[in-house]
Amino acid sequence: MTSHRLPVQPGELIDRDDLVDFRWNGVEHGGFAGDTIASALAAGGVEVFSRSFKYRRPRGILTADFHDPNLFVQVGDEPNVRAGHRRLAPGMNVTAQGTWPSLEFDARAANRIVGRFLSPGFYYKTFISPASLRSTYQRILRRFGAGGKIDPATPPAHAGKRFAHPDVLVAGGGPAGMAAALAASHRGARVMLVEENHRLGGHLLYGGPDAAPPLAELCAQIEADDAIEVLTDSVVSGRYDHNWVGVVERHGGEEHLVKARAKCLVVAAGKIERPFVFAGNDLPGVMLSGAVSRLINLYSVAPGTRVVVATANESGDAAIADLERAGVEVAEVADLRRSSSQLVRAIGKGKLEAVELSGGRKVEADLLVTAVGWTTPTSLLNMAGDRPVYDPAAARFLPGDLPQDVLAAGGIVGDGPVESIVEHGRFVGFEAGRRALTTRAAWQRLTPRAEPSDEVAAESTDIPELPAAGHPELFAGPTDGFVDFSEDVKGSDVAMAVAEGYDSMELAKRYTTATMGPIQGKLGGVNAVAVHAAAAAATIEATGTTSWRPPYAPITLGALAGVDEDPVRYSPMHDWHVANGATPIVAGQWIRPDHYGDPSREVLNTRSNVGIIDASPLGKIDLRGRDVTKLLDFVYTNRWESLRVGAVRYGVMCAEDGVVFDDGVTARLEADRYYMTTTSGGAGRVWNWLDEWLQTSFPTWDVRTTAVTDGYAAMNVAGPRSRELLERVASEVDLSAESFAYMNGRVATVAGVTDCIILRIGFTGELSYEVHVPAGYGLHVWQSLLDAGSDLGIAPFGLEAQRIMRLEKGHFLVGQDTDGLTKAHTAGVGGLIKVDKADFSGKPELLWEGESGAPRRLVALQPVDGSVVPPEASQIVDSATEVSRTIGRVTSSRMSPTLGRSICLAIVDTPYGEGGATLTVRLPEGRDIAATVLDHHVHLDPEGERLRG
Amino acid sequence: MADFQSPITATSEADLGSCRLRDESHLAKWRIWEGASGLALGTARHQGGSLVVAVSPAEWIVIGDKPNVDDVVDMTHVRAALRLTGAGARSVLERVCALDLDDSMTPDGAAARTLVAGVATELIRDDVAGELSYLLLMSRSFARSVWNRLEEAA
Repeated sequence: MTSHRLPVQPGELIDRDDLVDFRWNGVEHGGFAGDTIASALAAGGVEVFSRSFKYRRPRGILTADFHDPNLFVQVGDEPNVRAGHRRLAPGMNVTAQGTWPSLEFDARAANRIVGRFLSPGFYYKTFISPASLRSTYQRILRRFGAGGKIDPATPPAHAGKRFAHPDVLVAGGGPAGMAAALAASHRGARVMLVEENHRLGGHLLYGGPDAAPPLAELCAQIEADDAIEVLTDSVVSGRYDHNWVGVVERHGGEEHLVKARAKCLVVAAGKIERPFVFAGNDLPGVMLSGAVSRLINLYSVAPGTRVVVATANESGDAAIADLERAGVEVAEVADLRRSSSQLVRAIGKGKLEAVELSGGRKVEADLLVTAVGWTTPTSLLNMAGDRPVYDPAAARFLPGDLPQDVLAAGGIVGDGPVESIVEHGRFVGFEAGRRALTTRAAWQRLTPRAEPSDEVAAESTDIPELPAAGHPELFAGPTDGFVDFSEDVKGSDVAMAVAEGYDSMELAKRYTTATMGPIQGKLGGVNAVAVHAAAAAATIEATGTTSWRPPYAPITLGALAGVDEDPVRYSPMHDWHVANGATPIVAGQWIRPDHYGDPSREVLNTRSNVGIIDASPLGKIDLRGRDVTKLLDFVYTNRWESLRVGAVRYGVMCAEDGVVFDDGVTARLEADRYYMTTTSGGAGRVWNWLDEWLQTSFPTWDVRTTAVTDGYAAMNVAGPRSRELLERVASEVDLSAESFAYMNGRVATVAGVTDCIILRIGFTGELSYEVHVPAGYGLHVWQSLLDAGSDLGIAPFGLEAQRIMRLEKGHFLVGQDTDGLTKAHTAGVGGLIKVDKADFSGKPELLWEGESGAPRRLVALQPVDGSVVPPEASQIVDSATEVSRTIGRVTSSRMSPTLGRSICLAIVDTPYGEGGATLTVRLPEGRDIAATVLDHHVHLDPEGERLRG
Repeated sequence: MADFQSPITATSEADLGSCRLRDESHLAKWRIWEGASGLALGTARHQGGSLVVAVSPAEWIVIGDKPNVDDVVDMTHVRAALRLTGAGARSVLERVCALDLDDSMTPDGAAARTLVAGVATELIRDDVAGELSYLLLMSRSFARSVWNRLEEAA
């Protein structure tokens, strides 16, 4: 392959000493460090980079930068890489994407022949009926999609986000953006300067020898300024309320999101060169003037050998100078500023062969360069509420009214020599700095932790005008060509949409998909508007632009998702559980042992010897003050004023609607000090609940609540030998049945650790003690208990064994056996509802439920065939009627190792819940089984002899 | 009595390159409702051998000696304390915390209740001998998750 690499050009970005090898469609290629994928391939003579979306037309370089619609390639397993932007890296495996069977011969190019069928709305019109075939259509059409391939086996990347709080954020690192950043920094602002390309400089980078001195000067100043954070290869993806600005940092293929809260945003996005609409405008060999200047000046690549230039502005004139300097034969210059001069069509089969100019004159060429004007990248301004205004004299849209915290600088506003652009940027940056510092001072005054700063001068700077240069209104030639290269939409398609009645630009956009491809109309958006306006016989001003929405450029989902921020919680005994073979389960945010191998054996050992479970996630709240009893009386349904020091009581909390929302025990440790435990999942909810009532309804009560869940490692020592075990390690406490009875609590020393709290309660139905140990000593006490109980048959048990034991005992779990509609009577705790109390949360509803009768009730259920465990949520049905009716559901079910049979809790309609009744449970597979309702909730030891012993 | 067990096992100190992370959970911590009313909300101050922190109205966290007031709750085991020290501490924290940590908004002696790596945290700017340092207090059970995320962020 012939090399199109030129001799050394001043300002070239490539390092000729650093050769980089890579592959393109399986073939070895070489380039230099500093090359983009596209420049290296162009230097190697590659002309076709992709096939177009709809008609599979061969496509080559159009703009040679990030926004080139024809340069989407696959790199390794990364699809949609922009070859005009991505830098070459050693060993890159680059392939053309979405081609079938190959880039050179694409079978689907047959679409071109049937092109008339692919007019706007083709899919809507064709594949709408019959409905039965729609999924078949979908399968076939998917094959025709563009885009690359992803490997589902690729491991997920972790793209951490970061937060930033610049005073001034400058979007765009060209001369105006650099000058604005410097001026804002001189004013005292902290600045973030974001540039899409790999280097600062904007168009100065490829502006030829004259642009080099001012560029070097600006770069040196930026380099020397510590208050400016420069992010290159990064893009401002969106501007949201209060200048919340998303910035995507790209590092090769890895993207990171920066969430920036800027006090002032300066948009210095420059101008984007627009293509011209004419027949053959997408042939490989047809390029914009900017592409030519980039290829020659940045990468030292000759874009062709014989060129026709159609120019209407200084960018085209500069390209001519670049081409001449590069030794490319300039066959013809068509100056489109003169009305006699016309570009009619590009001619060629698969690539450019000749150009037809006015009067039917044909000029042979392998390169056609157009320079017909600009599309203004106003996206960020639109996101800030701006409606850009069309200026016919400049033939482009210009910024309209901007909010106080957004300013525009440089080429997006107007034109001029470098000095004028820099001066404009400087004034805008200075004013942006002033506004940002004013905001910062206001925020500091509002933030107590901040140090107040000096007042900022209120006087604003007058920003000098930067007028837009006059430019002919050139959008489309006399022939039909593409207005959107991404979506293969032609001028005639837009005109047809207008003819079919889509006279609103917004509707025509959606109908034709013009500006809806990956380039989002950044190149040819204004062309689509102009063609639409011409077809509708309207003006461009009246037609207006389509809406620009975030993101400005595509963001990977990985960057948006960031790192998983779901923190998990570990008990002080976690490492012991891991070392001793626990199977973990995530319960709420906690990592807990589900079991240590065999939950049934854990149950039997606890029932016959002694077991120990890590109950640290239990919610725990320290309550202090003279009015704690009043608070307990209000949030629990039962009575608390009679609770004496050293006693523990169980309580149920209901919301105002009478629905059970948590339960647990509270101990009175001292006269004005209580210790409340809640369900593990309810800890935060209950603490909020208590504080909410105190702050809103009872602000005068003397109560202080402290959430101390994490402060105590809790372990439940359960089983007939638990007292014997505890007596070996506890001191400062009399554990005898007489002095430390069931439902009592003591502060004690355990294994030498003072300030432990021991609660004698029985969730498992056994003689048991809940030992709460200051967390930093939790593992020590846990280990001490296990050591001391080795001859008593002690063994740990997990969550599953505890669930079985509580079900054997008939204790319900809030949220498992109750739901968002289960009031206290339904849950079967009517005895704990003291409606003669003056007031408590849920009282009116529970009074009503008590009087009118609960419609459903929680019951204990035992299948007649004890070997069948109906899965939880199995329906309970009344099959006596002709159509069986659901009358309840199983809420908990397990095989009881102690009883050797299946046991359940269930919610059933009240008339069916009488003790002794036989109900029908429908298993998920459809089979019905019979089950008997018990008189009470308890399957094991209803008299509580184990518990109270 | 047994040794205080760190919520971070295996290690209590990590070199994160540009800064150092240390577990200081063993420090005695107290919650009080009186006795520090001169301290502005959002600030922290060294008093005697203790650091007094004000991040919620009408209550304070004291790190150090037990305050001499009637009503005090021991938070030593409830709150873990992680200290991030060194020039790079801010850029590490910026990856997991949305607050503006610049000197102008969060100077030495500033304190805030915020989210760090998704966990409710009292963040205290508490420079040590002129070196940038942040003290982070969070519920003990979350400390290991936060520690790991800080290591990852660095």
